[in-house]
Amino acid sequence: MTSPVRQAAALVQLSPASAMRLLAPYLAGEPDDWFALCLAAQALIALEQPERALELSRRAAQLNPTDDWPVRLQTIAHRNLGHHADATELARRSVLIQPANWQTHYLVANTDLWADAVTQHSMAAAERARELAPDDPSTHNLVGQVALALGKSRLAVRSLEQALRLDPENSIARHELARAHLRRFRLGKSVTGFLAVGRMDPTIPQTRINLHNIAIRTVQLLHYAMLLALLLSPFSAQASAGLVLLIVLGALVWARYRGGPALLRFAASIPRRDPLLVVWAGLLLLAGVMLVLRGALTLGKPAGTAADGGLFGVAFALIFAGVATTWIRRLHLRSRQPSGRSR
Amino acid sequence: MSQPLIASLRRAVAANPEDLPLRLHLAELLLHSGDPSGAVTELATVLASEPANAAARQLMTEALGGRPEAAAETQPAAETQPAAQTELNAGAQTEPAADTAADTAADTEPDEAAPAPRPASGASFDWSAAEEQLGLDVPPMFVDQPDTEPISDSVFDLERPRLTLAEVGGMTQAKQRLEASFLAPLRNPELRRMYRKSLRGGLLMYGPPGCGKTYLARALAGELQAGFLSVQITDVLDQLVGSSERNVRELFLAARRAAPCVLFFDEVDALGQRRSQTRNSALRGTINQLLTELDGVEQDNDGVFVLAATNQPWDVDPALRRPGRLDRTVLILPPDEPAREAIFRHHLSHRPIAGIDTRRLAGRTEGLSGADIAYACELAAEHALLASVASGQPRPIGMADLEQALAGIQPSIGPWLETARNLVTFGEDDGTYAELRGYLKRAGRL
Repeated sequence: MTSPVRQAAALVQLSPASAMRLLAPYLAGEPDDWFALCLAAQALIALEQPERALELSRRAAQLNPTDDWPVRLQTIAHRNLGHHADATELARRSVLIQPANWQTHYLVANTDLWADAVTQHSMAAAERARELAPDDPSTHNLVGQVALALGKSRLAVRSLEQALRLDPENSIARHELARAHLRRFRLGKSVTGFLAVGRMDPTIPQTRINLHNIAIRTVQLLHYAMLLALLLSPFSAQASAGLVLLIVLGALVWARYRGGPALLRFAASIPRRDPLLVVWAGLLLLAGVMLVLRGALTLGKPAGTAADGGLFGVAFALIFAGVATTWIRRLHLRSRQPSGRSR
Repeated sequence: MSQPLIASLRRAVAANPEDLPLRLHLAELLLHSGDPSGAVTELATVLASEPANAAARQLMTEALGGRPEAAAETQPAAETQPAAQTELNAGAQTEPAADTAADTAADTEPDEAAPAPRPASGASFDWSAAEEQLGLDVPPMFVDQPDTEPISDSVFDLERPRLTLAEVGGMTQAKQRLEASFLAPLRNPELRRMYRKSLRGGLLMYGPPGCGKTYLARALAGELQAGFLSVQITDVLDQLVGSSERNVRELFLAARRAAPCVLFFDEVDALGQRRSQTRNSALRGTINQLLTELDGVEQDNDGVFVLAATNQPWDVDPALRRPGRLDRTVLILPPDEPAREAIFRHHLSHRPIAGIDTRRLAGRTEGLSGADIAYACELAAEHALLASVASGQPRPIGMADLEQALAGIQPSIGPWLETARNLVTFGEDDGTYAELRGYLKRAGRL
């Protein structure tokens, strides 16, 4: 290996722009060096220039048709360009060229994940990649992601936990694990997971989005609890008040001891991002206060006093105002959604 | 004569063996630095290609013991005397070096300006001249091991920036932070001694891309009147086992040798990436070596000021930020209004312009980085050029061109600020990013 190519190989993952600066003049003199072409394609993929990467990897594949690397690079370039059919076909071709290489199987499953076309075949490919490279955390991570896409949350959690055992600093695996917990409605584990991801890798934008989703689900839970409290109230005002108190106190204690200051800082940023969510939560909390007051006033007295009736009415109105807010919020969010799907 | 210069010329000659003027220059330097045999070798190569080269012939005569008149008049005796001869004579306790030099000059050709030669006697016989004439190459009696390995200076280009902080427009806060954390202790050695303030440690500049971190580092070097060694990952990292570590060691050796020197690591997140995030063994070794060198365990780093810049401080290995290493941080924010005005002026000053109100432009470009402003100037120039081509009449760049260009530019630092927001929200609140937190709060982003 000549000096610029050797240096570029060392740099391609750490600083693709620097690798490209070394490779460009080299390739001008040696345009038929398939290895350098592959390195350049890899750097260009990292630099988000898939068109040029595709061109170079195609040339490399023509120069060395027996190696799977150029084909894998072509697959990734097609995948990043959104050419899912071409990417899928090339991924399968790379398996035919080199079936003993776990990366070819990995790419098959990964391409399906990108195309939102995960099937049992994708799972088989991911499992095969894991069999071939059981010590590589990325294969466990892939199995976890494919399982999550297929709705197999338990398998996803097991695989992602294994990936984290092999590489505790793997922020992607931690993120996917938090998603898997969210899918299983384990809000606490999910929140702590996302907070850890935010701490480990602030460049992942989905962390904030997912925490926001959890905040919405929490308010939703509170809303259901309020409706339940309203249903209970004709029988026992104290029971409904107790239920509301329990949920709110539980959430506060959890946020204080498990979420930590990061969660509070995140919560403080919600009003700017989604003010209607705050209005919704505020209405519900006020309704909760009304229900608690009602419970306190009727403690030891028969239900049906004037104060009791007034508080019940206010709480009722607030809870249904919450329903209205939810609808407004949904319409508002829908109008802000970009057309088409973004990844 | 500077040995690094000779070493660097040697490499240049090795790379271009056909370049005779370069070889001639090397021969001249060798001769004047006291290595006539080296000079003879180089001159012989030149004369083999160009036997009639007058300069080579003249230098060859000089190297072989002759003394051209022009050279004798201009060169002081101490410089014409080869160092090896001086050492040999001093070791033999025959005569002081200056006398020997005078004698050598006198032996070759009488010079009216030189002191009158003393009569030769047995006690003052010039052994070194005799040995040279006989062609004997007597090795020295004792050989000292050099303290440091020879280093390849040409790999790391040492600059002497003339830029100073006063010439950097705006950025008052950053300059104040640099003054407080770096320059004030350096400028006031008495106070520094009184407060027992050490000069260990370095400074990490972080901030969005295109906001002048590298420029400020150069200005800081100029302010310190120190040499400036800028290092990028390409200068250091190599896939061969041990090469990257050796490169880091040589880099610090070069910096210590050139002290006072500012050693500037650009994009330090690539070279000093979190070891837990990298599986690249070459990089792990490099980071370890970098930590060792920063600690100055083997050699003192006095006079070596380490600066580093990064757009991604979250990717920098925490070990690099421990006390004694890159322990001070300065946030370099997007340019403020005076800085933006200066940047506009800088990028427009060499272009044909008319009626440009830079203050107004600076006022309406809040949030743009220096690179964005440069791009806007480029776009405006492009627009004016196209208009000139269309009309067939050249016209200067006007406000309309710039405003049109600015209308199409979004601040490039947006994604960085989003990540920074995540960093201060979810990261440990240990005060490292207090400055960034304050900025984001003021900017209404938290």
